[in-house]
Amino acid sequence: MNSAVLVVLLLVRLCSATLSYPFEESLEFKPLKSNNLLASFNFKLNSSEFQLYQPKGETLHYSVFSKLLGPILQETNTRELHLRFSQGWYDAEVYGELPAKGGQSGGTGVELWSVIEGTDDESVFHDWIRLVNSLSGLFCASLNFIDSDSTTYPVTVFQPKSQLLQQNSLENDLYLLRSALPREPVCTENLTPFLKLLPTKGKAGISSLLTGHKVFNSQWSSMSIDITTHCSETGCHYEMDQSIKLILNVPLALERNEMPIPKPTPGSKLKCDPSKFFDAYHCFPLDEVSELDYSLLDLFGKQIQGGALISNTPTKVCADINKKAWNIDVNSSTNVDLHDENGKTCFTITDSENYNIHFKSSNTSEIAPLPAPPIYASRSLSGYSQDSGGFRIDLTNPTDEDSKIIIFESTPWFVRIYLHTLTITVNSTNTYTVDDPEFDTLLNGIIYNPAIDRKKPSHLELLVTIPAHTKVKLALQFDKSMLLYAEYPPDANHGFEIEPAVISVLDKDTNDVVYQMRTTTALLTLPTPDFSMPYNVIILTSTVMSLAFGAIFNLLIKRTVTEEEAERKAKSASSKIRDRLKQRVQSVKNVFKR
Amino acid sequence: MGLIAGNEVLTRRRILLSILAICAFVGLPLWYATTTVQRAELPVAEIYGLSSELVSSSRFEIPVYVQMPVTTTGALQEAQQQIDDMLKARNLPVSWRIVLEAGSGTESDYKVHLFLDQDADKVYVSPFEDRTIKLYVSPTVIKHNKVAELIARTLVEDVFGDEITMFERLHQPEAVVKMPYSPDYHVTLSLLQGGVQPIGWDIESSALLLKNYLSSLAPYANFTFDSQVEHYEKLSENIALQYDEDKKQYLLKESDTSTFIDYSEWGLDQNTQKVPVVNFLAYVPAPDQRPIQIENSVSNSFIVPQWGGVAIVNTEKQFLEYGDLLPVMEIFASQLFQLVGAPGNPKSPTIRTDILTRFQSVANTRKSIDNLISLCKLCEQLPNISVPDSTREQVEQALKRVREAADAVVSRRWSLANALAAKAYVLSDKAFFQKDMVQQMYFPEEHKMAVYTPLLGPFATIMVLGVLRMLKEARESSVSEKNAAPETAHSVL
Repeated sequence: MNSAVLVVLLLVRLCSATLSYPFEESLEFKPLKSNNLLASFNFKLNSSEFQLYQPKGETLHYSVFSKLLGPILQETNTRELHLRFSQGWYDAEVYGELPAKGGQSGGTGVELWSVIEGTDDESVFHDWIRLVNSLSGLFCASLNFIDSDSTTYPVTVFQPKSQLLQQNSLENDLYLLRSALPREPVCTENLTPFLKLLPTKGKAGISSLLTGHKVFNSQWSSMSIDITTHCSETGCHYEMDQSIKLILNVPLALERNEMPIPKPTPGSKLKCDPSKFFDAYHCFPLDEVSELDYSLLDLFGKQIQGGALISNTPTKVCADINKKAWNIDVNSSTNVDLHDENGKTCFTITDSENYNIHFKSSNTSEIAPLPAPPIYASRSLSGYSQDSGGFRIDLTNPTDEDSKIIIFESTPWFVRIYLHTLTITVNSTNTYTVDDPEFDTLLNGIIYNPAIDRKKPSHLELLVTIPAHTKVKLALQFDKSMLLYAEYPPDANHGFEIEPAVISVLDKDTNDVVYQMRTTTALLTLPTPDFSMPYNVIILTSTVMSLAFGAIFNLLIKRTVTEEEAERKAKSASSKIRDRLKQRVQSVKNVFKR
Repeated sequence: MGLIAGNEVLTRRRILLSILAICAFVGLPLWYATTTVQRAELPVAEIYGLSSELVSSSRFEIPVYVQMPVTTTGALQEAQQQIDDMLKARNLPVSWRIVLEAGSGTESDYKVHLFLDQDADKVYVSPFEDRTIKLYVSPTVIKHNKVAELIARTLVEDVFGDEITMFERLHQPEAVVKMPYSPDYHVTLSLLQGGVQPIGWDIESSALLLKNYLSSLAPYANFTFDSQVEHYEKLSENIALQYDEDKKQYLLKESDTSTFIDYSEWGLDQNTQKVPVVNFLAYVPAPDQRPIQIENSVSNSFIVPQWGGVAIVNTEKQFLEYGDLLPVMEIFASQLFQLVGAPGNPKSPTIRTDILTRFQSVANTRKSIDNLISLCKLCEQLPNISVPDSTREQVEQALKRVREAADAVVSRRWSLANALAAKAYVLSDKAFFQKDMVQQMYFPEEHKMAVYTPLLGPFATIMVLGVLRMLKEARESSVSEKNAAPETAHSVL
């Protein structure tokens, strides 16, 4: 009996081994400082093979690679596509370096760059517009607002990742185009199509944890899609990497479960610092809790609903914890084999049972080693008037070596940058202008494409060397230009978002990008008119014109008379009125006499 | 002094009149020219003219070659006569007739081959790429000299019966199932699985079968084609499957087929395609819901009108081979013909496509003329709507194509006629849905008031007062002149 069951089980195993799809998924948790938790969901899949230059009407067969994306990429000759949806602020001092060295996170809002094959600028731009319009519909994002006035052609960063360029099989040239929409709010409606692109569709595997209201309650989140084309002698295929990185504040998430509508903690539940004075009205709250016990169910409201059984590699879940202070427990109806992998605690899921992970810690501040980022950067706006402003970028190199970085900035056309005003300040003491010889040792290269009004954004790439343990400040002045009446967005007084600057740290020898980060968006206020202005202008000009016309007209038409004549006329006119009045009074008197 | 004063009055009068003249002859035309909506002249008369002569202009003459044994000569004319009589009785809205010709014809012509058969009369239409109709005639028919009648009845009732019915119903609304016509369609084959285990299919070889059907439909429209495999597509919870203990199967009620497809959850989005998509779903139920049988359906499939077809595949296999897919592809092929509105008879896909193409060329011509007429009516009814030059060009192009299509029909090039009519339809659609026309500038009357009053109000007031004063002066001076005249006479006396 038992052996029969075994044989059947074995057969089932064998059968499932015969058919599988090129799909891989993994999930990693990492507790961070201040009770934060990083969750990174990674998905990787390949398309079936196709011919790069296929005749029209050629049949394509899709399996794990979504049919939604395939035709878009084919029609627009897109060879590489990178899409980022991010929201929240990444506090590098608390969270450490960006997951995946920043290679999978974007700036606030939506960011998109792609490599398009084409013969000339015009046809490539046409394809790019078609691409963004299609993606706009697919991802429910306002990508359709991307036009030439927000598209840049990066030179040193965002370089193609696939090896297509090295192969001589390409018929045309490759073009790199990039755009960002910093104003776009990333929300649930972007997550749903994101999950639909997965073969598991959020119904099995690690993607079953992802629900909109939990994902976007995080401190910081970034969704990324990277599609690259890879060719061999027989044909080409797409490789797609999808990832979602979340930083959750655990006490906050637990609190939300208890109280969906935030209320102040009742006095009885407040934990006050006993070393300081406290009573019913005064309380110095204690530091953050150091003991935590939570599970996936608390964080995501769901459990992992089995593995992705269609994939050729089983679903993997890992936790990067400090085992001295943390304990991990997996709840499932099947036995779970927890094993060590590069210092992380991992397990795989090969059935369709539910899995819940318990995290328990006696001291949450003891976490696995957290690598510090190789650079800290922030950007702010300076200037105070309605028409002039400035950027200030602060960069800190905390490492022991000099680092070479590239600052990529793309600003809208209404920000008129004056490159000659660029100054570099080292450690808040020495300020160098363009004329100083030290300037060139710090700033090694500039790529600058000035803006054209309403057609092109200004595009700036700066190659900067930052000495070890040094703070460098770059400052740049610009003028704000006036917009046309119809160019102001609704709620123009809110201001205009300037997309984040992208800062890439280069490898010293190979000049490859080893770390990439984005600053926050900048909110620029432009002189905003009062929108009843057109009518005011019309009324004012009309009044002035009719005044002038009236004066001249009357001058021409009216008869000029001498003073005596006028007086005589006035007299006769006034005596007439007096006579008439007298008559009226007399008649009234007569009435009363009767 | 009086002379100078008189001169002054005259000058002032001239000034006023010239200002009024400038307003009237420069100001008004300028205002009119800058504020009128641009309206291109549409060939309205031509459109209405074409719509009335459309019926008479499309003249279908379908040649059929009949190979007669020598003994039955004379039957050809007789058959032709009978066909004409039968068609006359049907009273078709277009001029449509079958022309019988003696001889063997070319490969692409309709041919009737007569054979002697001892048993009974039979018609056999080849289901392959051929337009041959084999007619088996029994000796009794020959004896009674009814061969001509047999040929006529076969052609009018069996072979072209459905076409005649279609033309009869030309002015009635189209069948609900039929997808709206488009010169291009995209066909998507999806293998959907309700369970969690991987599933696959040998689509590369099976698709060839469907592709053959698609290429036979080429004169009607262009079809592109792709396929996908989707997992985790569970049935919606609203669908109540009934378990039948006897047959050991789940029964899907016919009424539930309308909600069978979960459009929001299943990966069937089609918003990225520009052309209409014909969807064919092969649905493999999850193991705990297998097998599913649709109520009153032999083939276990159903059509979703104007959307596509669904076939349920109750299989435990992980990989569907060519043999497993063959019946499914046959179902899809027959659903495809229904979805494009092809007639059910005869069995030959070539002849069915021919019939469909001929019918569609008339339908498209009609639709494009209807579109153009609606456009004319729209322009008449909305005097504020702008009619750009591009609209006029598209209208003219569409009219040109309509005429060319009618010519192609007369010269018996049906597929060319359909292609031209389709182009006319697309162009007329474009003309009707012209972006500049649809985006009519909304400029309310109050706003016009707000813009005009500050300027015209003061101007008009000043000028009207000036005119009034001038009139008063003129009256006063004429009165004083009258009074003055007798005075002078008196003084002279």
